[in-house]
Amino acid sequence: MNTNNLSSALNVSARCRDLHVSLWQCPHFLFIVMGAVISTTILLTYVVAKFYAEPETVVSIIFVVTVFLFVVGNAVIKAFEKVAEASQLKSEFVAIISHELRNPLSSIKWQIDALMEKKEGLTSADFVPAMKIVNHSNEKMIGLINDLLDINRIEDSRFQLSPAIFSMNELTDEIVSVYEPIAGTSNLKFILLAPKSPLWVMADKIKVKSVISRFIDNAIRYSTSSGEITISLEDIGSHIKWSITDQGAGIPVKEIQNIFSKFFRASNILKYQTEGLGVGLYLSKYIIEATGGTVGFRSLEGHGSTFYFTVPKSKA
Amino acid sequence: MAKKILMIEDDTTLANNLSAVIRQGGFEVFVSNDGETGFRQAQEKRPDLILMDLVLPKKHGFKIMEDLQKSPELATIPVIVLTNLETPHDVERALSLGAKAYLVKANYSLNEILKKVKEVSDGTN
Repeated sequence: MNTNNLSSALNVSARCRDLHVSLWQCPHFLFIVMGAVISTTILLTYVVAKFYAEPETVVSIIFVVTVFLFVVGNAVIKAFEKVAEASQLKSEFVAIISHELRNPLSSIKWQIDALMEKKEGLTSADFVPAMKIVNHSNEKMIGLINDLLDINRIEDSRFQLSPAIFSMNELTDEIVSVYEPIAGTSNLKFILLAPKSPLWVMADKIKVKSVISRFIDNAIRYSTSSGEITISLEDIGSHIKWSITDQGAGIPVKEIQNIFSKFFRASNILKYQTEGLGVGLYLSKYIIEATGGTVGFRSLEGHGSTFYFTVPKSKA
Repeated sequence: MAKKILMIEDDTTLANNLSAVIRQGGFEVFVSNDGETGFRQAQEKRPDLILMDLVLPKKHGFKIMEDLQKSPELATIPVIVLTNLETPHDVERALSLGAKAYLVKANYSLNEILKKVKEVSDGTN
């Protein structure tokens, strides 16, 4: 072991930070505590035995220390379990990510494959649809990577917002026009309820855009084959409230508390059936709360859900 | 008579690309976009081979394979799994349910899949 390795092995607090656990849940630290207790006890027992020669005291010290070591030992086992669990979550996560990345990747691969098969006589009629699919798959992968990076930034407390003043109506219109054709293919119609005058807010426009896009995307995804999706904007004093109501599957009651947690997917939508990482609502909640707003929803299983968030109005 | 291939794949572009290549290879191809229709098609068409994804709407690929196994007439149809899942657990489960091959989409070209389809369907004669 060279000096570098040795010093990093001894830097317990850094190692515990790497494992993302607190000191009292960190095996490395707990082992040092055990070591310290054992050495102190040996010394103490020696002193007691030599100078006081009271077997009862020695026995009681050993008893107390044994109980203490038992407790710490238990904590060490718990700590290892926690680390092992984290590692298992990590491998499940890698499996989901690779599945999600491979889908657009194989779309692109097969698209190119099909074009290469034709080789001669390729026309724009072959190219245009193929390029659209390639482009769409590409966008999907970029979105996925951006979500992953955001989660990483949140976990390392490096997530930053750049607030600016913008109009919520305008932004909503812009996003809805992107989603209209997609909703159209599932016979879904948007109804937009908003005042004509611009609703100015102070927030990170790109991040709020990602939140709105995710809410609309979810509403489409969890909607049954046809129906309406209602989006409304409201001035509620200090904040602007944005909400979306679908007529979809709704959220099972027992899952309501988990909905904003990382990697959540409603169980009434088959696992893996829909695309995505299951991080959208987790990221959205984080973004909105960091902006100074709130996120929430109402849902009735089988009758659809309403999701809403608020963002602070601009003071100017 | 051309052999019948049943393809169960929810991604319609992938399904179109691949079914065109398999047809060119001299097979008759039926495509289902979800698990339920896929299983029904298997009962109705009695294909010579089933090529299917695991992550499917309405009925997961593993459930389809289990149900195929339960029926004496359908249990003998060879199945090729074509998916982007690749955990050891998934691969093991597919093979234990009788899959003849487990192909990861991202690792195979259309022609390589056609080759595998030919191999497996010939092997059953």
